[in-house]
Amino acid sequence: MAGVQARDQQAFARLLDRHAASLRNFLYRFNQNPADADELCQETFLRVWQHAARWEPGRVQFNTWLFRIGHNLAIDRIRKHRETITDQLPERPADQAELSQQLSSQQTEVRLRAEIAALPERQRTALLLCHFQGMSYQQAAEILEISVEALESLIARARRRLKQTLQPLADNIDIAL
Amino acid sequence: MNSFNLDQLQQALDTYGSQLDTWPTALAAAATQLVQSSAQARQLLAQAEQLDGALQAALPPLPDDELPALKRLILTKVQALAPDNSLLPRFWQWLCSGYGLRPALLATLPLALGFALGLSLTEPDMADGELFAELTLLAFTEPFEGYANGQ
Repeated sequence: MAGVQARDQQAFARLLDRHAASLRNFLYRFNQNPADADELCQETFLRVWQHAARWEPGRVQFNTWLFRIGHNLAIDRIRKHRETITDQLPERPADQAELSQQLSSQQTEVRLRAEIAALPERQRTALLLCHFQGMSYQQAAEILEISVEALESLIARARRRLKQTLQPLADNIDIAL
Repeated sequence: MNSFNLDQLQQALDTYGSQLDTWPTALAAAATQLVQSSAQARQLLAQAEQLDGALQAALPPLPDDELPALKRLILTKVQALAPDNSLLPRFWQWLCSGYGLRPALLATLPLALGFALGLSLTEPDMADGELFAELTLLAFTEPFEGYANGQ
């Protein structure tokens, strides 16, 4: 990153190689739109180039700073196009019996994606950073600028909500005791 | 952690997921002990594992095939944003930054420019009467006899 701060484009290319795939996947999972993810990824790295001087090495890890920028841009975009995501939500089944019948593997994935998209922004971000990106709770908390305890609470609430989606299927699990 | 019970296990599973090896050490040890001794605990763990698996299946990573094109696009845009790297702008940037002699050098630039301009001017033709009169007027002096006579 020091090279990028010195306006070294080769250093920037190396940074891109190291972090672009991970950031792009996070952005895709956050708003569930591949084209948006690419645009946001592009915008995030351009911001990094333009504002490289603002990053302070001792204060926060580069990865944390990068994801914070990407996350903020993704939130801005979602707020501008909020109706898009709510439109994508499949209708909730009338009752649990009906849901049980519908829970094929593919339908479960569709339903889960919709539930993840419908999670409150901070719960969704916390879950994605820790569960999908494999970040430590400390680092995810820094990205969201909250305490680790607050982050744990967000993740627990998110998982409980998603678990309800799978509950009918889970009840049918035959576990060897 | 001897009193670790099913409610605490459920809370920890909700918070940290089903991979016990990523949990805080003491909590993982207590959970492992409970899972070994309780069928209900094993069921809770199995449900958490199912949720983790379903989440991964629901949102797999994007295929990487379009990533190189995206990187190239970003680099192209960065090159367009990059400042002019030719010698003069770089010298100007160097001159305007830093402390000590550089600002002093910057301050002498107008003076140097004035000298250069003065040296580059051609000497006036003293035989030209009008120019001589102008110079005399500017200098507030009496005209020198020799110049006035065109010598």
